[in-house]
Amino acid sequence: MTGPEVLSQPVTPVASVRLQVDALSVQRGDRELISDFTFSLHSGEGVHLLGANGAGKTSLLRVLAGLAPAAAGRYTLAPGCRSIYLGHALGLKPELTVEENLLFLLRLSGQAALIPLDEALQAVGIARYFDARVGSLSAGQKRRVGLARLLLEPAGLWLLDEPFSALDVKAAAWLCRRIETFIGSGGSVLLTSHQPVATTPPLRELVLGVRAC
Amino acid sequence: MLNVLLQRELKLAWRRPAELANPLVFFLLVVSLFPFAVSPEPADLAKIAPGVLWVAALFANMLTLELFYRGDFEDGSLEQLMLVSQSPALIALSKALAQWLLCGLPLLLLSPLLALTLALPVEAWPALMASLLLGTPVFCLIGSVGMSLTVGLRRGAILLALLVLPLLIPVLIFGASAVTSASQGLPYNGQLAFMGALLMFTLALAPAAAGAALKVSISS
Amino acid sequence: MAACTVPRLTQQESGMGTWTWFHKWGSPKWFYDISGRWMPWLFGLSALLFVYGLVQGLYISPPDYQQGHSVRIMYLHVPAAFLSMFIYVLMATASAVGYIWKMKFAPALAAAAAPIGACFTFLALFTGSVWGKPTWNTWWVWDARITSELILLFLYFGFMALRHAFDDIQTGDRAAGVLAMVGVINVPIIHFSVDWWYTLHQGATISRLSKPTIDSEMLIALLVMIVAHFLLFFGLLFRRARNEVLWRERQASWVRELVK
Repeated sequence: MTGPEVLSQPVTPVASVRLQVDALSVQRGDRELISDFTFSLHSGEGVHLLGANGAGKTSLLRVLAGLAPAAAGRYTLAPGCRSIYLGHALGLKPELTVEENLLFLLRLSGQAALIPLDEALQAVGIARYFDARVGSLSAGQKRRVGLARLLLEPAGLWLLDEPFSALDVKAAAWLCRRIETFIGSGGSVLLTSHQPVATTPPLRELVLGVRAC
Repeated sequence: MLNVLLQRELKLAWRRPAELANPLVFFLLVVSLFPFAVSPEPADLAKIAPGVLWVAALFANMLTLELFYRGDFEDGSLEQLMLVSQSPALIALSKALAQWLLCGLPLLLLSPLLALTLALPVEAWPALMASLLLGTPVFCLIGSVGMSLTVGLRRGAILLALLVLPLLIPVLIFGASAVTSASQGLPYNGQLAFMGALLMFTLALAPAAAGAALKVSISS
Repeated sequence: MAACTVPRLTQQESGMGTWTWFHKWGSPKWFYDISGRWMPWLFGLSALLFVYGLVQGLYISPPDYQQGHSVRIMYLHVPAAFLSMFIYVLMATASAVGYIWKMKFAPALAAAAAPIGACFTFLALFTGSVWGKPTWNTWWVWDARITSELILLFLYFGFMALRHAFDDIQTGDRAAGVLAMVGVINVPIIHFSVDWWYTLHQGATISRLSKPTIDSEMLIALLVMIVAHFLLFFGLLFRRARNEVLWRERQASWVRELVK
């Protein structure tokens, strides 16, 4: 059950609902982690999911991404809205180069890149690694490659699971700026992070795993 | 999209060439064991040759299944493939196709050489290649279903065999029988026709089943 | 820059909707109640029919003019073989229902049916082998029917092994469900292939497990035994399925009430 939400960002009445969750239940194994969860995410809104370890943050994101089925209830994405999910596992092939990985995913999506590849790599700070095999990169560098996808692929919703892990201070700050820009232009973000997310304005926080009994 | 996926599979496998050679070596090795275990007499070998070649091809093919799935599952690529392409069936089909091109086809091309070592009469060689041509894709397709079901499991290899082998018995029966008939100078069109039908049937249904299996496997 | 381009609909309906009656019908609690009421009848009736069938089959009905008394094993073999096929189809259907319509007790039913099906398949193999001994003087022969039963046994094992290999019950159910649906489509193909293979190699040594000419007394016994087996199966199925349902729903309030 969801606990009290701290509304730190007023939602503009004009913004459309991008993600609607109704009475969702998320199960992991035999335990029901989240039950009867109802929530709306609007365009131009960001939400930071909080909760103790095992509270169901990752499970919830996976359900909303469409990777796992919900135990009950439903969720609806706005029609025509594309989402990008970046999870714990980065989804990069170690045998392929940075360039090959990113271009492949782009080609598979059938979308045109938002900005040229070298610009994206420049922005995340791994421009000179474009032809390096991902397997030879450090954890932080791999994370940056994953984040480059956010710059390349058009989407309306970002579902990010611990996006700040393995990032240094500069990179973390850069990511916060990117999230701000995305939200500012009407995108929606739902992310989990153990660290505080230093965006301006701060993201709305949603705490999971607080039982009202 | 199948093109994009297939290119990816081929490119990935090409970067790990040593693993591709394994099934061929295995095929060679297993077939070589039989003269030691049975007898070096050509007459005896010729009798068991169709069966041995077919079973060895079956096992060699099964060994290579993991290559196309395990890596993707573990580094999270499988999830991203499913999310971005929105088509699990195509993913499974591309993997089965890649497996056939990289493992099934070489097996097929190597088979006459091994037929020679097992004293299979030359008249039967076309039947051997034709039956393998129709049968190895079915191995790959049904294998993709079994592999998709077990990709998320640790130590799923034996379970994979248990799931896949019973389903491949019909192919084995007709394939080996085609070669046997040919080596006896009998017609084998019926067997090939059945195998062709089986291939069409499997091609129509297996990708969807494997796709459903992939969705189940990544959901845990 | 945000852009919404590719249409994507990701919706999941819950169990309740316009199909309320359908899903009430599928609720685990409803199943638990209904099966509880039917079970005593199933076991009782099956016991009666077994007694009647066995007496009829083992004493009253005549021995086959060709096979003698050894034909009497068919009163156990034929129902077992029948059931082994039926249960597999039932398992696959329950899995399909659970997979497509997400009725919660359906996968529990499939899970409960599998071991019973495997037992009946084993029984069919065992009785088949016993039946074959007087005819061929060997305990095992690759007869078409026995071979088909053996492959069916492997299919059952595969289902059970796959289901247990997953830590999460739901995932295990769904995976095994896909397998069962694939298997059930393949069973006719396997049957046909094995039959063909057998007739191909029908040499001088092996001949079919000959079907005895059915006397009316034998027919009565056979039919009674088949029905008795079916009733027994459903009784056992309900028993196991109820256990499965209780375990899966153990967090639900109605189960807690029951356990108190």
